[in-house]
Amino acid sequence: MMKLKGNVLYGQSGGPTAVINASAYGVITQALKHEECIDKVYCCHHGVDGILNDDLIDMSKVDSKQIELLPHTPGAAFGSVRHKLTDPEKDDNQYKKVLALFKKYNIRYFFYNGGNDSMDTCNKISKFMKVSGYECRVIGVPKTIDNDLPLTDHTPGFGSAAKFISTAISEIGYDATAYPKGRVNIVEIMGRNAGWLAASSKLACLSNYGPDLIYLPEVPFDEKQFIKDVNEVYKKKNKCLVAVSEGIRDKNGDFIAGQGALDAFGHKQMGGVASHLITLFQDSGIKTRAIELSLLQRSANHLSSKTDINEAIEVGRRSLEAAVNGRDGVMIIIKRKSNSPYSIEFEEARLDQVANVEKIVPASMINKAGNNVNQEFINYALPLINGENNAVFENGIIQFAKVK
Amino acid sequence: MELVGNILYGQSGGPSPVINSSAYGVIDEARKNNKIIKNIYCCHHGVEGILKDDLIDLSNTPREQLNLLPHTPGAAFGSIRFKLSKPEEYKQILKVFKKHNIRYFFYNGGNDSMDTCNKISKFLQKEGYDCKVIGIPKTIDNDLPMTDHTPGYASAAKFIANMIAEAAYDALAYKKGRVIVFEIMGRNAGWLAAASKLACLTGFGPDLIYLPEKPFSMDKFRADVLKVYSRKHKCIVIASEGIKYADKHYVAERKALDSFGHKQMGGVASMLTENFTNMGIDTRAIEFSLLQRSATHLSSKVDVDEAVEVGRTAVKIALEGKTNFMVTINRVSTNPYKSSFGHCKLSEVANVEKVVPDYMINDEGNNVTRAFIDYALPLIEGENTSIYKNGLVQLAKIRL
Repeated sequence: MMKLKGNVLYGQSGGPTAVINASAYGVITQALKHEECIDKVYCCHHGVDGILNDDLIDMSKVDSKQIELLPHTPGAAFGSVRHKLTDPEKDDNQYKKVLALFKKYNIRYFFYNGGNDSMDTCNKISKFMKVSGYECRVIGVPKTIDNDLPLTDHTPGFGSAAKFISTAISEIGYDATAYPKGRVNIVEIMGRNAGWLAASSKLACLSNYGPDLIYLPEVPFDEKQFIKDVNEVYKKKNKCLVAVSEGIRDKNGDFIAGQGALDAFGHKQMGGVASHLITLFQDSGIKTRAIELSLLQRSANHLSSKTDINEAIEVGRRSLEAAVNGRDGVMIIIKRKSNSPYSIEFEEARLDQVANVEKIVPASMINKAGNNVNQEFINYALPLINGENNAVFENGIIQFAKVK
Repeated sequence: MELVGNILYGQSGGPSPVINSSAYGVIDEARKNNKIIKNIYCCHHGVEGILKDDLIDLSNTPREQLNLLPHTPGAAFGSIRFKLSKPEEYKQILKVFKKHNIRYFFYNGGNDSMDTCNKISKFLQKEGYDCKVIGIPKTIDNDLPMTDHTPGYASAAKFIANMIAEAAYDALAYKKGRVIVFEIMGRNAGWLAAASKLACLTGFGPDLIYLPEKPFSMDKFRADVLKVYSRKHKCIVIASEGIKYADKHYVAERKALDSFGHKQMGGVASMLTENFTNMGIDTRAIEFSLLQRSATHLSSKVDVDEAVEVGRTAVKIALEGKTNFMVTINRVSTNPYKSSFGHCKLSEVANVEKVVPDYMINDEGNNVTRAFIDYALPLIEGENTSIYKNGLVQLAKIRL
């Protein structure tokens, strides 16, 4: 096969994760190993926006020390974006702009790192390039703390968020034992439609200080049953620790809280479930506290999982290799070979199989009462949080990559 | 004459990431002196454990659990917020001390707890019961006088500074403008909110910091934020939960009082973000909540080491026959950082609050100065990495 010669473009999209920059590291460093076909590596400044605005970061101008810090850097080092491209069949102006930029910079390898919506964007760009007869290998690099991508055993980013959540909940759970006075603590965890992150709080139970009750968007939420559940635990333990997905909804499918604005993809913005749920105990005389882990869930790189970081880097590397080997319109997926000892393999899935499909927590991982997860979930999630990717500190202060 | 007997150690007030490190220091030092100190008891939930004669005998606690104490948040032996008020309570304490032959009593807490400690000490003296009473400082609030800083402060400061750096970096992910307001613990002293400043050393820190020490004006706040926002299209704000208006009213006042009569705080961040929602500016309010005091996984090595040493010093000075003191930390030098351990009278500490001094706050009252950074930075040095097994944090199980 003739090697396709040209430049690489890498972009970040959607919500940041603790390890998206680790995948960037994988793509960028692997590209440097292919001098025979890759000349330059560019990164989009704010994902597809950077393409539309001709705003790229030339990696040859970035210090290698900064590149080495990427696996220890939260957020989206190159800037992310939530931008839905138009339907090309109705309006292909944006795609023409993308093509013009690809031609201008001789982009022959394009990697887009994101979740469901971003894989859709990636898929559309791939198709447009083909239709236009411009040879460019387009690869989706999976990333989302939400763990809701189909076909892959799990997504890079989930393991680290799960590790932060389970550790923070252990610490909060332990803290709650300090006083003899009773209290109900309700911790709100990210997750719009899939409860994977809230479920991961369960791992704190293995340290003995985990949640008593866990509510996921997968199970219709009933406030009366919830109050009953909490009171039952509280009566026995004089404490109750509850983990709740921001996206829980009632039997009609309406969100329990967060009837706010829509984001650029038309999804409802969430938040405020925990504060709403504590009001249900206002007149009971029970002390309550609502805790939102908020942005920390996706930004707490200092507590990321070594397993997750290593896999994120490897997914980046494999994406580059797949492209160099002529693959196009695919996303790298993770297949689990065994749980104990944990082992995985990397495979590929077609982008159109991934785009806009959400994987939720299966019923087999949720208990019968719908207020907890079971051993099957623990077996699934525990290997993913193994190992610590210790942050780089200088004078007690964490160090991040400065690439923009 | 050496005073032979047993020791009692108790935890009181809000948990801190390193209160259990001081417990470790006391216990380990006491075990080294087993000719004088026979049994080591710990109060189950502080003074309430004494009143109920509910003590934990540490003779059977496995060493590996004790070794986990410097990696364990919360209050491993149980804490309490309880103000002694009735004469019977003191009599009951004496009775329990006599029953268990407690001759050394260590109480680990903040202002209110030092007051309790002082009162118990005075009562025992009056009754002619020989018992050495030493206070061990602890509070994330850093508001105790006579000591350069308090064990617990630096770890909370380290968590706050680094989490804000991470969140600030995260905020750069999107082009879209946003005002993020972080609410940080601290009722009357702004030390914790000030610690967010250290995040600026990464290049990703707060733009504005509001402390309870300076009168808060909502108009000025709005103007400050808009000024930053118009320049950077982002603004990261830190607010102490205890910020007050010029008339001394808390910005986020709630009706309930805690058992010491302090007003319960909370909700400042969301109140402040409401200023901008009508302007079409995207906002987010973030409360670190309990994590500030419980995130042992990101504690400062300097803090943990000092907390252990403060516990050891308490035992050492008690064995020298000293009583009615609190252990203090004195700063010998800032660069390189060096501290030594001393002591002061409990009565000098009890119920006195140390606030952030004027020279550490900028003239505008919306940030802290270099002097604060010089003071706080050495305290967060080093990482007291947690112990993980299969990716799970390991915490001491004392009471299970």
